[in-house]
Amino acid sequence: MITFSNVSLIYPNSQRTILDNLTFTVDESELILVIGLTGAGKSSFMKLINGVIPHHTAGLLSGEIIVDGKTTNLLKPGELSGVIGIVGQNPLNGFVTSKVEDEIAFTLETNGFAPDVMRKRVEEVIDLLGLQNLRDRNLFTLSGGEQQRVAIAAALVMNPKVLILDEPTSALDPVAAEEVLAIVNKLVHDLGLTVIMAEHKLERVIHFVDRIVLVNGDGQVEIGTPQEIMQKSEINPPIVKAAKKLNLATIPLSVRELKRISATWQIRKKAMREKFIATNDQLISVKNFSVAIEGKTILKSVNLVFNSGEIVALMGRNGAGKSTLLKSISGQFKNFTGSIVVNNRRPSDLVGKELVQNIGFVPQEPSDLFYGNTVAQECEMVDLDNKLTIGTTIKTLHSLSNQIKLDLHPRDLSEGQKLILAISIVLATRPKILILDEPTRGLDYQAKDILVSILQKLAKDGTTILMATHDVELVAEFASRVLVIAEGELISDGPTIEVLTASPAFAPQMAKVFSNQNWLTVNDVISADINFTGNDA
Amino acid sequence: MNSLSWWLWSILLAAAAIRAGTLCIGFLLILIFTLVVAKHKKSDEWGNPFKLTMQLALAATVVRLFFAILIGTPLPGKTLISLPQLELPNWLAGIRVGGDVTRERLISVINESSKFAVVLIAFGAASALSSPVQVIKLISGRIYLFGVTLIIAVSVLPQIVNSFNRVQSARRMRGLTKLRLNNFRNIITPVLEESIERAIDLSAAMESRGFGYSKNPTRYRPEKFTLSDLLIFTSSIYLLIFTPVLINSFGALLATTLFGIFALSPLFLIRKQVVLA
Repeated sequence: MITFSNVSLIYPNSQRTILDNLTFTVDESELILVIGLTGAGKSSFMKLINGVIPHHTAGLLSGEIIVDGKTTNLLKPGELSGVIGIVGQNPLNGFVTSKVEDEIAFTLETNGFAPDVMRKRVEEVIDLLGLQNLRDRNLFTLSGGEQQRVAIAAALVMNPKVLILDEPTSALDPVAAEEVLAIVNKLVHDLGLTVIMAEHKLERVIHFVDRIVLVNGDGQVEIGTPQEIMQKSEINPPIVKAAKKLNLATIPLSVRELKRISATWQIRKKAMREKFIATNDQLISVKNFSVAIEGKTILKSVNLVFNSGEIVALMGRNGAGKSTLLKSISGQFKNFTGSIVVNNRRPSDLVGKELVQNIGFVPQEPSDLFYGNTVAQECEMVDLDNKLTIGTTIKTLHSLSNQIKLDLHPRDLSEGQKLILAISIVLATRPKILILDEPTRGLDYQAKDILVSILQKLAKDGTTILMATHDVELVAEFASRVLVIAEGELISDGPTIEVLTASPAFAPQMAKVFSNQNWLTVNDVISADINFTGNDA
Repeated sequence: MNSLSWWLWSILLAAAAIRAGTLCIGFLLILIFTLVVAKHKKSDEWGNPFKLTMQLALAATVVRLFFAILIGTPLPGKTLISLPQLELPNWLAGIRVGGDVTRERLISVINESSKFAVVLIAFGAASALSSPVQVIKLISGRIYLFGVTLIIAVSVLPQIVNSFNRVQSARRMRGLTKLRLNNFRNIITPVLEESIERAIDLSAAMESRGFGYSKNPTRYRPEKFTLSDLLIFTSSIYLLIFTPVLINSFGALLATTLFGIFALSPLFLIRKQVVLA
């Protein structure tokens, strides 16, 4: 279906080779997963397939890519629009029209299809992706998962042979992510579509992909079955990580596989998680808190108390009101009823120095905080703005990570490094509370591990941390308390272990495998005393 | 009604008002646009373009009035107020700062600004009555780069407003309170960087979806050019042609009334036709 022959790619003004002499073939109706660290070149690899690189975006390409018998050297992306459907990382950025139905029909319109054919095709994909209830909606009012489904529908309407998805679930809550991935699985199996998909959260996809393309970032690319690649690569989902640490002979890919392997194990002693002891020092109190936006209730009568030193994770579907609550606590959002008191003050009254000494807020898009030309300048500006001793912010940055080059432009950093810089900016003023709004968006496992160790350290130092997140594995690593919001109400609130093991949607992989233990993370498993009586050890 | 008809209707009416050149007709037209927009408003995805142009028009009028009173050549006529005049060197003869403000000068400025305001408001009304992206698709399917540029410009606008707000509140969380001119750059840099990113993404998406490749793009829900569209189109053209006659042969009041009837009547006719159909 797709043939790469001797493909090399570099970007002008760059020393790094993205791809070096790559030759491989994707068969018809294969499901290929593309993995690699952020910035390794996964998106570049995918954009090559329909020729957006080099026809649209700069890039020096040698070799040839043939898709369904057509070479991208001669054809422009538009001329391949009937063969390849492509869904970008952020579907909202690629929407041309404003209505669901118009968006789906757009590619048909530009290709000059007859109106009656168009009606039929649009109807078909609407049925296929279950968009009946959304067809008249404005695209901007849809939730992230719905937008992703519309983007997939718009790509499928041309009956393409290849579908390219660039991190389709990175912004989605676990339930919406499962929905989208179930659709992808169905497309491969029912329609025989060839799918090429990049994804960071391997635990969601690895058990149903055929082959994995591992983009190393130094020009080398490794291709193989999931088992082969997992053996070689450091990029591992929790299950594979646990299996490797326990030296299992075969590498399991799904909860089911590890569960079957571990069925014969004897676990002698229960490993107990360190119990979190909360202080009685009340730092934030939220009373009778309600928000309605344009007549629609977002949150109703929420009552909460956070004590200092707590590490709280807010979970719930996209649009449940997590961000609204965090923004209200940090004083950015004011149109609510009820009251919020932070350290005996109303957050909306806090400004300037008082604000930054109480609350450090890392927004969903960390780069909103940046406006310097280099990392060093950025740090200096923080010192000047807040009248700190010069060098305070850089010192904070170095205490979190010394991998970040000070002469780089903040926007040229990788996603993980951007997040670390943003955290150091807000921590420089020593706030009592650190608030993070979806910190793991677009982070690879490596960056996430670094984030976890940073946050664990901060928690030990007594910083109170509140974060909204979809990432159950991250929550399992270090949160002390989990809140779940649904339909505007607080539906559960309790210690991490109780909330995460209570429902399968929120359970981390290890809790699913060892469901009768109190285990959440890989560390819990490897620190336990296990007797492998089976043949596997 | 066809999106294009709304644009033609507003453009032709604005042109007619400029030809008429009287304040009464200018104000009447602004009133008509307001009423029609209130009733037939269509697009909601980019906020309220009509309100925005209204505010712009008002601001432009205020600025012009301010400068007319303070600077410029005085028109001879009845002096309303007399401001202290600034002594200027000889080589600046013909320029005046302060001094007498005449009634003639004020009237001419108000007339001029009303024309400008009508054009702005007509644009806002047309954008509110029809989705701008629809019209761009209609007229620019074949002029590829022009179409891409226009669509990107139109769709990046709401995103700019959104990221401006986000960056503004992120600034606050960094402990910055006052927005001064020298740190205005701090807001502009992230906002512009994000818009450029979005523009590149959008143009890549349009390219991948074959925009501009087919010689004959089709429409999913074609907007038919019906009899009522024709009616509006022709009546507006007649209005444009006969406006000077209207002004010259009748008194101001009667001319304005007739103009209003002429401008609005096709809209009533359309409604009747819809009922009949």
